[in-house]
Amino acid sequence: MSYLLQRLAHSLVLLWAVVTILFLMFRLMPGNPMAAYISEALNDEQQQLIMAQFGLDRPLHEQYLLYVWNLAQGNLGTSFFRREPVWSIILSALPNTLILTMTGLVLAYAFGILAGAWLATKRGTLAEGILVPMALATRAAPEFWLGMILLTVFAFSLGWLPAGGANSAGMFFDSELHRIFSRDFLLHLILPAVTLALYLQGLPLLLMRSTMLEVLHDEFVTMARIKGLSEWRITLHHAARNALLPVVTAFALGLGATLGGNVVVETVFSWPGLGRLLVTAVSQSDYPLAQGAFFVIAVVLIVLNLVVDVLYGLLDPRVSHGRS
Amino acid sequence: MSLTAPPLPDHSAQEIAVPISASGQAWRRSLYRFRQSTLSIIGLILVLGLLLVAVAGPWIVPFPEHVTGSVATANRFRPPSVAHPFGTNELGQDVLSLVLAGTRVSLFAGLAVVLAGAFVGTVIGAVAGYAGGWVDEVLMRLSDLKLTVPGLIFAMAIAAALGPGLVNMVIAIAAGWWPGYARLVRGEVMAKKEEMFVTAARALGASPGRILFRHILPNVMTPIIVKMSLDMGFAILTVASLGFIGIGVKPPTPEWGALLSVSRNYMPDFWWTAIFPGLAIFIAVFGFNLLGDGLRDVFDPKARR
Repeated sequence: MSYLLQRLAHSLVLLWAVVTILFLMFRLMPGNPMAAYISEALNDEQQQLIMAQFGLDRPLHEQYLLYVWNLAQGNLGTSFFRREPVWSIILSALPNTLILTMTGLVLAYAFGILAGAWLATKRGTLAEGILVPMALATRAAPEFWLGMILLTVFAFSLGWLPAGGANSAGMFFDSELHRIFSRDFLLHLILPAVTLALYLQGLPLLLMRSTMLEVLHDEFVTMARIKGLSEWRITLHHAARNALLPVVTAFALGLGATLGGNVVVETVFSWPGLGRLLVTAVSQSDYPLAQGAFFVIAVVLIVLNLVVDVLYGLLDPRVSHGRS
Repeated sequence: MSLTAPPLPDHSAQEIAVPISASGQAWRRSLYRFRQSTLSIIGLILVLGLLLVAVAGPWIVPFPEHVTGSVATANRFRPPSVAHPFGTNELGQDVLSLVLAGTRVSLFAGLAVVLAGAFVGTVIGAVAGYAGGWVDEVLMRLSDLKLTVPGLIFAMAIAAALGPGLVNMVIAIAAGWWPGYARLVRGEVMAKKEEMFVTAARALGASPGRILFRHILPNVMTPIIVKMSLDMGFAILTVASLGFIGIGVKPPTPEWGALLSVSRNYMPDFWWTAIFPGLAIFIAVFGFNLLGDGLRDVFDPKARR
């Protein structure tokens, strides 16, 4: 329990640091902050509105307090270009990103774990000689390039799958849940999720293979052999279960890296998620939207890390929480 | 999930597990090593080739004027041919020339990111590890922060504040690249500072700075260099990713990711404008990854993944 509180406090400090850095980054840029915030596209009234909202005429420490106060109330400001509250823009993109990320991760780890465990039993064979370099190669292939190739082959040339976006134009749904579970959405999900999974599967595959190779020499595996169990049973029921732990750790640590990879995949497939939002916001200098998107991504990551850390301790009693 | 783990106290106990048969084990290991080294040699050849192209770039590019931004719109979107082995792009520029010239940009940017990250990380890690106490605590919490946020997103945030351009992009990526090195160096310094040669230097009256930079750091260079070689591939990939999403280097600088970003708009029909720059990124990342893995196995046989 005290560990939980300590971990929670740590997360809050991290969150505060992220907020402060975001504040300073966009406020203390070289030049006048007003120049970045107020473009000529805005009329006087809107300029006044933004200045009042952000309190840009006040001293820096007051601006900072105001900024934190606004954030605490869930006010992320208004987008320069879309003239909508940043919060509602982000909220509409967040489900798409989370679904894409989780689908890609689950595909990658399911495939990687099974293929890695199987490869560990194929030591010194042709299969190993071909598949291990291939796994290394997919880790080196840029996802945006891979995505463009898949898009060309399966969407443009063969016409099997839709070419981009999360839903066909002109589709309307009763609710967000209906949209997500529609056939249309799932068809759109396939290519980006497979691209992400292809990029991610190398790590679990190679990791699973190498920990399996260690575990397969352990005494309890020899014992299982002496008992006359089938190789298949030994591999799956005895060795793989024990080799899984480092892979679970990699999964947890990989969440952040995946959200990073998402940015590129979402751009290729015009997937209306947080990553693409971030790219648009940054390239249009839509600072409130960019700041808000960075903030939400940081919150998602910090919460995920916290959950994983706590779950990890529950799953594996050997993990000590007595760290300083 | 029930993990029925054997009561193994530490990692070393797993290492000395009884092999199935000693000779079989040795044979397999040598086969494994051989294959590993084959891959490292492939990596070395790829990297040497890239370095050669980067250095010789201006002299081997078939259409140097296209690299500096001149266009030949009468010749646009020509498929690969003898005159243009990689075809031409939407401005009629020779794609081969752009890809060859891009080698220098990508390798320079990747190297600059890794060097800057290693330098800053080494200084911070060394100070944190040597000083200990609150200095250590503050510096390590700072690196925690970075380890929470993915590198590409962190770089995007900084690039957004700094604006586009090659140097700004290198700064943006490098700003998030140091924590890994800081962690590594901190651990090494903490281990080394208890050793006899440090005590001897201190007894001779050497200052902390001299002990740190003249006595301890030369002894931790190997893992730093190994990590740098492992990082090169990912640094090049990050540079290309930023170029692709249009936040890093912008045309007419022939950066591979930026080339792909433009060709995305012409994708189904004019595939050659996208395939070859992507292939170049792939070869560079793959080459450095293989070389890095190989170097790690040679210098640090205990670390394996």
